[in-house]
Formats: sequence, structure tokens, C-alpha cells
Amino acid sequence: MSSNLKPALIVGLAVVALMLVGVACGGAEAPEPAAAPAGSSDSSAAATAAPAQPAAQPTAVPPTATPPPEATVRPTATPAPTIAARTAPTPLPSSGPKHGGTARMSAYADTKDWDPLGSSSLSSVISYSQLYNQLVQFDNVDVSAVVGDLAESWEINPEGTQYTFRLHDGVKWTDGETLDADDVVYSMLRYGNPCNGRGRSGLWRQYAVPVEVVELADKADCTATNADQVVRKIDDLTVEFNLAFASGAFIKFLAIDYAKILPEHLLSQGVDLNLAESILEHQATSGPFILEEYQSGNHYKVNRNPDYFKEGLPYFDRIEHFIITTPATFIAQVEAGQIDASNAAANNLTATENYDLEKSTNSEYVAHDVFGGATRGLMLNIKQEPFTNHKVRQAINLAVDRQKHNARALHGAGRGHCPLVGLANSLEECETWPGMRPKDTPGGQEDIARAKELMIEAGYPDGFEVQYTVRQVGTYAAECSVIKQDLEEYLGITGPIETLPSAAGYAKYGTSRPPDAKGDWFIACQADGMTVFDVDAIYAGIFLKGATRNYTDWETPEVNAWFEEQKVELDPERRREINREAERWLHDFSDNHWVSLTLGRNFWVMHRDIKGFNAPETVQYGFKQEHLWFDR
Amino acid sequence: MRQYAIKRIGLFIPTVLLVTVIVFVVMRLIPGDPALAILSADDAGYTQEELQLLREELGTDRPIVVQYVEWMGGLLRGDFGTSYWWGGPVMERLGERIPVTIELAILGIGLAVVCAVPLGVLSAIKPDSPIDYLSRIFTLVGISIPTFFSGILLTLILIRAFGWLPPLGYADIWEDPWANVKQLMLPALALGFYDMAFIARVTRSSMMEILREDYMRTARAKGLAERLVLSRHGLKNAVLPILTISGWQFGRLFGGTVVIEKIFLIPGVGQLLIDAVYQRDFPTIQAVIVIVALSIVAINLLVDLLYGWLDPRIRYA
Repeated sequence: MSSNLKPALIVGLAVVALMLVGVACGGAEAPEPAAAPAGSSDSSAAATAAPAQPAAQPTAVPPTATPPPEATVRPTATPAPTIAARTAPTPLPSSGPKHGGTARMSAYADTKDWDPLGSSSLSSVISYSQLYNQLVQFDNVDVSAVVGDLAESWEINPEGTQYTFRLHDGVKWTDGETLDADDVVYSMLRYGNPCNGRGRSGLWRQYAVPVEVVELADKADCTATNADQVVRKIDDLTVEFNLAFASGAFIKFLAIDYAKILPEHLLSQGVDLNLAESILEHQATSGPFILEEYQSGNHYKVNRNPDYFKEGLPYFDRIEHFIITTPATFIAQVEAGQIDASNAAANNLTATENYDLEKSTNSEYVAHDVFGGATRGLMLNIKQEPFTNHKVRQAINLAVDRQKHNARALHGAGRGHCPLVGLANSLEECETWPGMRPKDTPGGQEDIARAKELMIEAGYPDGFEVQYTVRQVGTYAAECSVIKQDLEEYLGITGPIETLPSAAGYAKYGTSRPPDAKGDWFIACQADGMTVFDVDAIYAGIFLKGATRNYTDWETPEVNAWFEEQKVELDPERRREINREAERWLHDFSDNHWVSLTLGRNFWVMHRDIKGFNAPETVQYGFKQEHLWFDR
Repeated sequence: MRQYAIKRIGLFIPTVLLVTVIVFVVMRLIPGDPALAILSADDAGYTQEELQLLREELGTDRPIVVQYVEWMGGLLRGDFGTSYWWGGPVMERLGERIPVTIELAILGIGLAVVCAVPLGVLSAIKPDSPIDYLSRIFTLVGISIPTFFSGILLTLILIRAFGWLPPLGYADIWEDPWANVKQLMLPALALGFYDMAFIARVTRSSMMEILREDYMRTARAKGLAERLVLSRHGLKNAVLPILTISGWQFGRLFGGTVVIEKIFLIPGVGQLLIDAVYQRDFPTIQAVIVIVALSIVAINLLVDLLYGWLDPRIRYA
């Protein structure tokens, strides 16, 4: 080749290489800013227009419960925080529900537990929810209403302290055994036993007569001594629950997907249903789907339960769940049409990426908003130096920049919030509090100055080095980076960020649970996905001893007193006032372990051909997938 | 040749023993208590008695020598132990996953060799030609891009240019060979991309060196056709370094599928290893590392034996 041609050839090849990179990096369209369309607060429930349920469907039967006299049951309706909603354009189905098809869904993380006992893991409940039933569940259309699941009906006594559930007759476990009151009583007493972790399956404990055991210290003898006073079998199809006080929230905690009824005939023989292998071996489930295969870290597949007690349900023949933890993989698989939906309002994508996915697929896929999403927080291990010093914690609460956290980590899709997430003081009100104010305002500058003073008072004028821990899911890593920047810039707190897979992260946080252990972590970025849309869920999720995200079992008499007072308060205004006071105290951080950051937005991505979906009120329920069907 | 083979096999055994000792000791030296990891996974918390009981149950409270001897005893019987995390035999899960990883590694190295050798030979016999420039650019890019990035890049190109990706999941090659090939071709290409570039470079330089040898000139002078000169005298002599590199790279591929398996959701050993590391599941980690190490040592042995067979000078040395 002539030497004159060499440079031309090299230039030509370089151009080709650049073009290749151009193709790989996407089309000509510039990415849109993250601005979420404001305005309509229309929920996607209306837009998705779920199909009419089959006439024979037992769950369509309204509970025959006699509503308790209003005065005796504490109203739980709480105004929702004002966070702008998006409308999700989903076309109407062309016909009624159709059976058949294999849905391919993505799971945002691997399953940690297959047994709901003590479980607080979202990735786990998504998996086992399809296999088992609760007594009651949230309705698929009116997503805040509680309807029967295994319970055909229920009654409440006039005082509102006794719930009597009547079970569907003829329900069978898939191994042929009958599902009856014994299973319900056994399962509920497991969740209620104080020797066992409360997790989310035992959240109803807060309202029920407490289970007492022979010797709780060191779990010496966990035999319940008052089982009949808590939950008892009346006959094979009737179960009675006794509450410590009248509560409308009680039934909501029974309705979340964690409160599953498991087979007593296996558990009482010591079978460990926390292992997928064990579930596969014994095949005794009751839910709409049957576990066919599980490969840790990779996938699990479920098949339709042909003998499901709800006639006509489920619609899909099979669901294949692929564990996709990498956002790029999820986007690529959706764009290639390999994935029909995420199996929850969690897909590890930022808000902007979710919006962009709608655009890049020409709205073939819809990112449905779930409002009662996750309250993002910074967990401080109060058993470890220097977080034993409340002034350090107070300084951190003042120094973190919620606006920056929202803008950079959540792409502006969330909103800064106080500890009770807008369910006590309004978000507008709490945005004026110290620590909440933008850092570029005089108020924000005051907050930084005060935070520095507190660090000096605590003996850390130059800050300190500490390890941050995050689970490799969602936007946690990005969130921790933003927080780290703030704390480094304002307080000199620096250190590496350790990222762990989901289950390993939970295990690490759990090391601080025992009273005599400090735990292996110091500061962590985590969210608490609200279970039900009630302030009790925030207390039970974060601020009570044994709460889901209270890994150090931090406890103060003040918060306990406020919680106990508000949970039995019948007057909603008075209840709100109690919670306002509690929230101000929590935010003041004279003692607290959880720095509230931002109320995030979660998205449930679904192909427009999937019908029967209505976004739930919170991220923690709606995983049975029994009402979904393909309109193809 | 027999003596040479015996000597090589004789070296194989102490190497494997050394690997088992290193793996076992290192696992015990790294921070993290398996019993603690298991108990912490439950929100209920635990007591010190429960922790001690679990340590006894797992056997992690015993002296390290006792643990090693017991583990080796099991290993010799083909028993890799019981997983700390899920309680079943380690071999059960490994048995499902090893074939997947082996298949992926074989496809990766196969693709690499099939593409790299002709490219390297072409590049060597036509130096400074467009094909040589193209090949050099390709190999430079190939060895510069990390495997995980080439995986993502390939995915993006397929998506943007064709709106297509291989089907998710893994179909057994004996049950659905076509689906299996469709699923594994892209990850194998991503996995073998680096090796393709590396082997092509080695082939080129090795071939260029051979082309300058006297016997090549002699072969041409004898009037042999160029095709025969290149294949019989050129490539055959250039194959030794290619073989070494390919063997070594195959071992590397077998142990290095972790990221690719994650990106393409391939249920292989890599994913299992990651989970096991985070769960402090010593028996699983040890089993995976020993198997990977054994494979690499075995491949090296095979390459050494092939060397001896291909080049008599080596076995007589």
C-alpha cells in the first residue's frame, strides 16, 4: 500500500469507530430533563381500567362484616403527603380478561427469605406472595380497601376489639391437605410470638393482645401461655383475633402481603420453609402460583395453580422472574421486549430513567407511580462511636442537604420530608425547619453553622472518618455519594462507601440487633418502604424498638409514649396533634437514629398489553399477580 | 514422552494440595463469621448462646487443622460439604452451574480462537495492509476494553441497531440447542472479545517471526504452494505460543465469567461464588475456588502435554 494512503485509511477507520460508538450510545435524541409532569393527581387506578372480575370469583364477595360503630374504632384515614403525581396512560382492554401466556418479569434483587416469619425484605415478599394467601388483602381495583383473601367474611364486635374471620371452605394446600383454622392460628401465633422477630409479618402485634411466653429472656422457653386470648380457633373455618384496643389499622397490617398463612402440618414438623428447595420438595402452598424452579441470584419460575380456590384466577399460565440488579440490563431487556414488567414498584432505575424508558419504548411500557413509596433515610449506628454522641447525629441532621439529595440522587422526583413523612406536620410546614432549609439560604447557612458548633461540642472539630454501607439496589449508592459530599464539605466526615448485595446488606445491618453487639456497620443509606398508608407504619418501620429499619433497637420513652397515645386516640385531629409533637421532637434530634431525607417516588414498569393492574398505595403489597392478564 | 508426562502429572498433585491449603487458610483469615452472617439475616436478633451453638453446629469453632483434615477427607470422596447458607450439599448447586460456566467458557475461547487465528495470520502475511491496520486497531481496542464493558457495548449495539437481544434465561443445550446457542452466543462473544484480540496479536507476532525463518524460505524455494508453506511450515510452528496463550486464557475465562454471568443473567458458577462470598458460605466458596483452580492446573497440564507432543525438543529437554 502506498504510504500516502496510510493516514487516510487511519482517519477512515477512526470515523467508522466513532460511528460505531455513536450507534452504541443511542440515537440523536438528547435526554429530557427529569421534570415530572405536575398537575393531575389522578391515580393510575382509573387510567388502567382493570377488567371486570369473573362473576364466580370468591373475593368479589364483600365482607359480611358489620362495620363497628364509628365512635369505637379509631379512624385511620390520613391525608396523603402532597407530592405531584403523574398520569399513566394505559389503554383500555379490548375485551375481558383472558387466560394464558407466560409473563416475564424482572425482580430488582434476590430473595432473602421464603418464609415470612421475621421478614422485612421487599424482594422476598414479592417472591413468596404468589405462593401463599393472607386472611385478607387489599383490593385490586379500590387499592386502599381491604377485602377477603382466605377469609370469606369477617365480623367485628361492637367495641372493635374482636375480629372473627370465616374462612373459605374447601381450600387445599397443593399437597392435598386442607387449609383450615389450624393453619391460620399456627401461622399467626408464630408471627405474634415475641421470641420471633416482628419483621413486617408481625406488624399486627402492635394492636393485638400481646402473646406471652414462659421465659422470654434468652428465649429460654418460647411456649405461648395465652395463645387463646390472642388468636384462637372457633371451629375448622372460624378464627377469632383479640385486640388490646379498638383499631382500624389492625386489619390493614393483616392485609399486607407479608402476613401469609403457611402450612401448619409442615411447620409443626420442623420443616424449614425459608428455603426455596424445601418449598419445592414439599410443594404445600395455597396461592395462585406454584414454585417450579429457583436459582439463587438468577431467576425463579412459577406456574399457575390449577386448583386455586379463587375460581378463574390467576390468568397467567406462568411467570418467569429474572433477578436483574443492573439498571443497564433492565433497560436493555425492556427495550428488546424480553421483559413484560417489573414484579414490583422497584427496578433499580432512577425516576428519569423510568420516564425515559416510557419514551424509548414509545409508551409500550408504562412506569406506574406508587406514591406511598419509600422514605429515604440515613441510618446511624448509635451503638458505634462517634454516633453514640447525640450531638454528632444532630449535626448530621442539620448538615445534610435534602434538596441536593433529591435533585442529584432522585433526579428531582422526590421531596424532602420530616420523620413522619407528611402524615403529621405537612411537608410545607416542615420544609421551614432547621436542617430542611436549602443550604444556599440564610436559614440553611445557619443550619450549617450550628452543625459545625455541635461537632466542636462533641469533640470532632475536624470531623472523622467512617465507613458508609449501602445495598446495591435502587439509588442507594448514588444517595450515599451525595450525603457523603455534604458531610465531608460541611463537617469533615469522610470515608469509603461499601456496597453489598441486597441480602448481604440486610445481614450486615442485622449484626447490631442483639443487645450486646455493636454491629459491623456505622452509617448506611437505606429506605423504608411504607407497608400501609398510616403513620403507625412509620413508627413500626423506623422508630419503635424492633422496627424494621431500627437495626440498633434504639428506643426512647418519649416516642413510645407518643406512639401508644396516638394509636388509641379516636379523634383524628387530636391524633394528628400528638404526632405533630412527636415529629418535632424526632426532627430536633435530641435523640434519634434515623435522619429523614426524601420521600422518593417508586415505579412499577409494565407493558401496556398487561391488564388488570392498578398501582397499590404503597410499595409493600399487590404481589400475587393473580389479576394480571395479557391483552394480546 | 511417558517420562515427561509422569513428571508433569507428578507436579500436578502438590500444586492442587497447595491450592486447597491456601484457599482454606485464606477463607479463615478474612474477616466475617458465617454464624454471625446467618443469624443476622433474621430480624429477630440472637443471643450469644445461639451464636455459640451455631458455630458448634457449623464446626467453625474447632481448630483450623481439624477443619481442614475433615474437609479434605470429604473432598477425596467427592463431597464438598454442606452449604452454611441453605443447608444442602454444595455439589447439588455446583452440579447445576458448572456445566453452564464450562459451556460459556468453551464457547468464548472457541469463538476467540476461530476468529483470532485467521486474523492474526492474515495480518502477519500482509503487514501494513488495510487488513493489518484493521486487525491492529481491533486487537488494540479488544485488549483495552474490560470484559464487562464489551458486554454492555454489545448489548447496546444489538438493541440500538436491531432492537433485539438474545432470550433471557438459560435453556439446556441437550433440551433446546438452538435456544441455548442464541442465549450464550452474545455473552460468549463478550467474554471472548479480549482473548480474541490477545490471541490475534500473539498469532501475528509469532507468525511474523516464523515467516522470517530460513526453513520458510527453503519451503518456498522447493516450489511449495504458498498455502502449504503457510499452513504446514508456518502455522504449525507458530501454534505453540498460541496454544499456551489459549490454554491459559481458557482457565482465566472459566474463573472470570462472574461479571458476564451477572450482565447476561447466565446461571453459572460466577453468580454462585459472588453470593457465597457475601454470605460467608465457606464450603461453597472453597468448592468453587478449588474446582476453578483444578481446572486451570488441569488445562495447564494438558497444554504441557500437548507441547511435548507437538514439539519433540521440549520432551527431550
